[in-house]
Amino acid sequence: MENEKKLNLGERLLMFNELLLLGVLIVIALLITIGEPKFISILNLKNIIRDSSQILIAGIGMTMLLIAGDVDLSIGSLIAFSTVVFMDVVNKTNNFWFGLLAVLALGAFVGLINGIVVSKFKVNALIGTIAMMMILRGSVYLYSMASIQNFHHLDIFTAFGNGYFGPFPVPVVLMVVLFAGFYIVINKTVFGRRLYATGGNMKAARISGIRTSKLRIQTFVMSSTLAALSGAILCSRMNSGQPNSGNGYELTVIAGVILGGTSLEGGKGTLIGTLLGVLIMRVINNGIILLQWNQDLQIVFSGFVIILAVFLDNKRQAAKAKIITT
Amino acid sequence: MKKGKFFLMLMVIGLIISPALVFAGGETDSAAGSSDLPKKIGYVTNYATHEWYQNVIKGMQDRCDELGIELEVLDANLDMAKEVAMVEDLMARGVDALIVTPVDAAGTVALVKKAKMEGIPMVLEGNRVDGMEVLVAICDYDAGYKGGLETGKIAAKMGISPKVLAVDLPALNACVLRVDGFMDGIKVNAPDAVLVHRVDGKGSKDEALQVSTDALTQDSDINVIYGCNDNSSLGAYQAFKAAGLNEDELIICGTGLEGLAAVYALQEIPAYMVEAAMLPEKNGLTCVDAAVSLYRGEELPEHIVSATIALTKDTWENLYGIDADGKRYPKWDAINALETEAQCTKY
Repeated sequence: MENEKKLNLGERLLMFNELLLLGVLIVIALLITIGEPKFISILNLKNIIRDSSQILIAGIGMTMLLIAGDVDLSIGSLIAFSTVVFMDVVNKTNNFWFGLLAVLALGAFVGLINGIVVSKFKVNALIGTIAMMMILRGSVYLYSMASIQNFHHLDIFTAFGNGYFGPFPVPVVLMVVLFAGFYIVINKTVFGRRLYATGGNMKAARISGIRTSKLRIQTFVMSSTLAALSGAILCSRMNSGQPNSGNGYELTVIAGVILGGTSLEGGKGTLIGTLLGVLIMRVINNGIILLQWNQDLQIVFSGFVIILAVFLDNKRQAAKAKIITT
Repeated sequence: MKKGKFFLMLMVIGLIISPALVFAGGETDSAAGSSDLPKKIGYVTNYATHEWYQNVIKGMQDRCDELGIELEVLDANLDMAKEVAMVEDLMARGVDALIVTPVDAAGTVALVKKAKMEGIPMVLEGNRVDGMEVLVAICDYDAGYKGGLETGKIAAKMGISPKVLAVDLPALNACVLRVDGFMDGIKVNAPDAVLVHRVDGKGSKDEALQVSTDALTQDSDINVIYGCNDNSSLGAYQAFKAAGLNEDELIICGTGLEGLAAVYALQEIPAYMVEAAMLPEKNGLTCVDAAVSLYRGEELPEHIVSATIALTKDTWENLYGIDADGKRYPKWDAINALETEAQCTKY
């Protein structure tokens, strides 16, 4: 407490990352509302939350990976593969649950391979998952060159991405349940503490008895399974399996997670931060369209936001170091 | 001795006339080549994972099978360097004619020059390139215009004032022309039509879904959706549906009829009323015919226009059918009977 007093106001604010992000989100939302009052319409807010849910479900897994010091660039391709497999299995079996099961199994399998490649074969996560991204993108075209149409029009399939639980869109409810579950896993369990320990200092974690390889494989499996689930939601929303979908999705997810304060160096990050980071990115994109600005600004703003997030993270680390050393 | 002299004379005569025979033979082959068919055509496409190109290839293959020509297809997968290497490889392997869909118009100029130097006829598909001999392509503005014309007719019949959401792909000039054409076309029969939103769906269904969701939030009174390709119109429709908006007064016009998606949409989605069909199979067939004509040394116009037509729920089956395996097939007689523009209204 004594030490914290030595920080200036800006540095103190930085220590409350989530509050800072919430403030940024509110300011951006206010600015857009001034330009286009329809921003705060129920319909628009529902759309923003529905869209963000799909990204957030994948973001939960990515946050865990980054906390553990890893990253997964293959999720965009996995999402494309998931849409195609989901639609194809539902078509062939006329059963929604078989389709969902197949997609989750695909995600778990891809995560397992990624985990083994990174933790056992000691391939850098960036390189290993880029390789998986290429394998999956090629494989989805081998599986089906054309988009797969919805033949059975099962009600449950449509409701999965487009339906409502009371007033809440189904993907939002799914996201809330998963968010709450993984929040507990990350913050209240031994697994969560080991995740931070592994990402913070893998060598020290290993010496202290944590089986880091097993933990990293488990994290990859969870992350890919969540990404596959996100693909299944996208498939329902598109009403088809699209081998061309998911392009750049991994960057959207990673940008949201980093903006939320999760460090690329591992050992730091929160799910609340990710939630706010993803919402900020989505609100900016939504605002650009509502204000009828040039859509290319979405990419430009995303780039600036990422640089700002990393800059703030560096400042935060420096402020923390100041507390420790003084 | 006399026998020896006789054989010697025969050998000398043989030596003298054999090159002449070979040359004459070559000339004969060459002459035959100018009137006959190429044995092998190479096609380097820019993006074979797109359904449009898959059906272009299908049209090429059908025509080559009919003419007894071998077709080799290579996919540059949007990589210009790869395209250069593939075209050069086909040249080195001695194909009789080439068809190329340029990944990048400027990057293809050198390939056009090289093909000319090597004496290999080259047909370009889709994109104009400086120094080219022949281009086979649809007229994008006119395709959009026809779609707009038909949509305007329906809007007038339904008594609605069209408020249009156009899902564009500004990075592609062809798509920009289609949207411009659509808006000009729709105003012929519905002069009060307004372009409310023009968003970039990047040609993919997931992106079109997302940007249309935002656009429909701002303007929920949109009653006409135009997509510069099938993914764009179908993605926008999914956004419209998810927003729970009234589909009774909605008209959707897609562009392409690239694969099965638009066929199903015409069959199953009440609002999906018009398709500016670009007939990829016909495009492929026309490319092969152009390559054969070039190989024969025939004169061709610089731009051979491939047919487009606006189809509706009632007319699409005039040109396409669905077989027992659920795959679509072109009805060639009807497609070949379509009239084409002599030249495009706008480039």
